[in-house]
Amino acid sequence: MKIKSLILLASSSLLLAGCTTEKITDYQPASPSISESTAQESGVEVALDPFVESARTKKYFDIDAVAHGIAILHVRVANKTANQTFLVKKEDFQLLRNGSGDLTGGEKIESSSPTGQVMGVIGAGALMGLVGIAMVSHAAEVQRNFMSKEMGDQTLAPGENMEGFIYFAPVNHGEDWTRTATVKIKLAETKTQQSIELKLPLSH
Amino acid sequence: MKSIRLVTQALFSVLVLTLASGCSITHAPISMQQSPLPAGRVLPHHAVLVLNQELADYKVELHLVGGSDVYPIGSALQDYARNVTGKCFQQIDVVPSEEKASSFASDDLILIPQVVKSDTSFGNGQYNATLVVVWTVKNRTSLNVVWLKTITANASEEMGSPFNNFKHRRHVFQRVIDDLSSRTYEAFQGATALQGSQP
Repeated sequence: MKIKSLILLASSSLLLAGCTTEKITDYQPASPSISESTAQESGVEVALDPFVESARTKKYFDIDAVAHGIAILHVRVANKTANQTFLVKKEDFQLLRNGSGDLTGGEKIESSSPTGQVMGVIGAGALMGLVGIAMVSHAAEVQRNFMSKEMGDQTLAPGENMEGFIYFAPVNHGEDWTRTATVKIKLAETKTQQSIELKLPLSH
Repeated sequence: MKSIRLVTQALFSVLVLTLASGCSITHAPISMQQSPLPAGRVLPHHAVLVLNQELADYKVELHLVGGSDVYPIGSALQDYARNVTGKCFQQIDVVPSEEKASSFASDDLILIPQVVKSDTSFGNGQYNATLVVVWTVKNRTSLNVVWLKTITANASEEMGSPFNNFKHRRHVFQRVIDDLSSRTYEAFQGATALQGSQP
């Protein structure tokens, strides 16, 4: 009898354990981070801040993203032109590896170029398959948080700015994925449909 | 003593079945109220609003331990799109596809709402929901994108007790539609690209 009661109690605890998941901290950068790189082209300024410290990814995403092979990049874009509107889309951000060695686990590299490997952005919804968190409620909240913080595609009118996170995966687990890496960004002007291109090295 | 034993065994069996089944229950569409929006700027455009089948069929999934609840919210999303655009544009015509929109010669813009993703979670005594909708506005004649905006709406609702938690689950979706409506309204109100008469 005692054993059955214990089993019941343990099973109930298992169900309730999921209910203790804490809400994850919002990200509100007060000032540009020291790890931020910026570039400007044709009146558009882009600032990139790679999250390579496990402590920062744990604080804002509740997982050690570096250890799980997820590259997190905070992006800010400001349109400083007087009369041009740009289309900013996640898919137009690519992570390039110029040096030797594999940046990724190998499967998700979209294409390769003579200068190195090219990696496209991965949507927040696809990330949890890489992580394998056991607790249902925790995994669901981590995934929802990734989605909630993800940069949305938008047009950027003169004087406007935007920010959000984009994700690349899988990179090598535990590796400093910014080493010898560059981010290539293409932004299309909405009236002329002409694109400008920026390249920001993340190496430090 | 025997009855306690039987109850314990029955409860344990139910628990094991719930955990093992991974079942998904689809609920009836939730009836939602559309948020009252403030009177603001009316954009000087006649626009065609595309409410396609994909939007009409949209469902959100609430992940629970051992399964999930599925809630069809397509009807609420269509009402939300009509409500917000009706407040922001001079005239709105509604069509079921983008192809049909291009034949409206008297309209200058095509408005296309699309839910790109949604997710839910529970924990810390709350249900949480996130809904991401992209609005694409095209020039009806050139079909160039004039304005594009991703709206991310978030909402939380207390889980309640075992006796009323279904009500709270429905409330979290009402709240997320409320947040979506106000964010979308603000986005259209601030859309400088749509303020002139020439898109």
